[in-house]
Amino acid sequence: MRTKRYFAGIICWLLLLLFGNPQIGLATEYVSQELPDWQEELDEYDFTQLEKVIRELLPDDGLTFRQITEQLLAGDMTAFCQEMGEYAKQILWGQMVQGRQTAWQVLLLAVAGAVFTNLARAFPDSGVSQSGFYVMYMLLAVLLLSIFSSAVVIAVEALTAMGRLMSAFLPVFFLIVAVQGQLTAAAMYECSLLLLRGIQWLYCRVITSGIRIWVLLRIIEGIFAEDMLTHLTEMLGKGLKMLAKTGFGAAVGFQTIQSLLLPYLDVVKGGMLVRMAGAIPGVGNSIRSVAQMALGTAALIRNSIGMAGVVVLVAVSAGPLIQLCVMGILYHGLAALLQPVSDKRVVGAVAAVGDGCLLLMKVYGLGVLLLGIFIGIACACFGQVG
Amino acid sequence: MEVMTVGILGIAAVLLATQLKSVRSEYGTYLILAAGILIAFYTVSRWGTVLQMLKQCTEWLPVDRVYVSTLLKMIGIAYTIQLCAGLCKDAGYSAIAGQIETFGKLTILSLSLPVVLALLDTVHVFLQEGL
Repeated sequence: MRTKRYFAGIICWLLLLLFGNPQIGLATEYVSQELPDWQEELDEYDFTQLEKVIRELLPDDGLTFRQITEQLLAGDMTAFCQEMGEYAKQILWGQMVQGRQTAWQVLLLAVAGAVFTNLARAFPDSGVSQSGFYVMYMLLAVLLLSIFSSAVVIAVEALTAMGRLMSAFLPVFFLIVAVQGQLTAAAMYECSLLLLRGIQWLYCRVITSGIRIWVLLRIIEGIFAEDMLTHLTEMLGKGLKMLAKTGFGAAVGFQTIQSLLLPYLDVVKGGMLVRMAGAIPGVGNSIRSVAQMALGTAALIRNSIGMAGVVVLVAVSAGPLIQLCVMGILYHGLAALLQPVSDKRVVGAVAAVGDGCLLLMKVYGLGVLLLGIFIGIACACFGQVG
Repeated sequence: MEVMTVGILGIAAVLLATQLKSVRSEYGTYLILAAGILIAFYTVSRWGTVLQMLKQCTEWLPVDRVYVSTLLKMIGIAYTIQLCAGLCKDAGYSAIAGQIETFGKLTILSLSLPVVLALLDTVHVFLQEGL
C-alpha cells in the first residue's frame, strides 16, 4: 500500500512539475508583453557545453536544451508535451520489448522445471524428484541473478552519475560563495549540500549493495524446504526501506533546507491542484506532502532556463525509473502467472526479483528528488548571497 | 493395449514364481528377473517417446544442453537403480539392494555438482559487482 502511494506521489510530482507550475503562465504573459524579441536575448547565452552533456546522457533523443527553453518561453506547451510524451513512450516500449525476452526465458525454465519434477515423481523412493527440482531451481537462480544484476547496474550507474554531478558542482560552489564574501550564510548552504551528497553516496553504495544481498538471500532461501532465512530477509528488507526513508527525511528535515522550502510551501499550500490531489482517497495525503515538497523545490528554479533544466533532469532520470518500474511489474506478473503450475519456492524466487527491482526504483526516485533539492538549494543560495 | 500386456505379463510371472518357489526357489528368482527385463524393454520404449518431446522443448530453454542432459541422465539412473534394487530385495538380499541404492544416489549427486558450481560462480560474480 505504501509502495503504491510513493509511486502515485512520484508520478503526480512529475505531472505537477510539468503542468502545475503557475510561473510558466506568468512567464509567458510577461514575455509576450514586455520582451517580444527574446530570441536575441537567448542567442547571447552559450548552451554548447550543456548540449554536449545532454547528448551524452540522452543520445537517442532529439531534445535540445535551447529548443526546450524556446518552447517554454513561447508558451508552446502542446508541442512540448507531445515531445515529452513521445520520449516517455520510446523508453517504455524499448524496456517492454527487452524485458519480454528475459521474462519468457524465466517462464519456460520454471514450467520445464515443474514438468520435470512431476515426471520424476514416478520414482517415489529414489529422491530423483527432489534432486531434479534442486537442479532446475539452481539453473533458474543463475538466470534470475543475472537478470537482477542488470537492473542493479541501471540504478547504480544512474545514481553514480548524479553523485558525480553533485561532487563536481560542490568545489565550484564553494569557490563562488567564498569570493562573494558572505561566508557565514553560505556555510549553512554548504553543509546542506554536503549532507545531500553524503546521502546520495549512501543510496549508491550502501543501500544498493544491501538490496543485492537481500534479493540473493531470498533466492537462496528457496533451496531449503523449510523457512530457514525468512526472518533474516524480512529484517534486511525492512532495514533497507527504513534507511532509504531516514536518509531522505534527514536531508529534507535539515533546518536550512526547511527554511528554504517552507516559504514556498506556504505559497503552494493553498494551490488548487495540490488541494485537488489531496482530496483523492487513500493516497491524497501522500500526494499532497510530496507535491508540496516538490513544488516548493521547483518554485525555486523560477525562470524558463531553470525550468528547462528541470525538464532535462526529468528526461534524464525518467529513463532508468521507467526501466526499473517495468522490470518490477513484469516479474511480479510472472510470479502470479507461475503460481498455479510451479512450486512456491520458484514463485518466491521470481517475486524476489520483482521486489528488488521495485525497491531499486524507489531508492533511485528518492535520489532524483535529492538531486532536485540540491539544484534548488544551489539556485537559492546564489540568489541570496549573490 | 501394451498396458494390458505388461500388466498380464507381470501377474503371470508372479503367479508362476509363487508356484516354483515351493519346488525350486532359485527358478522363481530367474523368472522374476526375466519378467523384469522384459517389462524394462517396454518402459524404455515409452521413455523414448517422452525424451523426444523433452529434447524438442530444450531447444527453447535458456540453459546449456549439458544441464538438460544431466537431468535426463538422473531419470535413467533412478530407473535402473530402482529396477536392480527391487530385484535384489525380491530375491531376499536387501543389503545388496541398499548398496545399489546408495551408489545410485551418489551418482546423481555427482552429476548435479557442475550445476552447484555454476550457481556458486554466479553468486560470487554477483556479490563482487556490488561489494
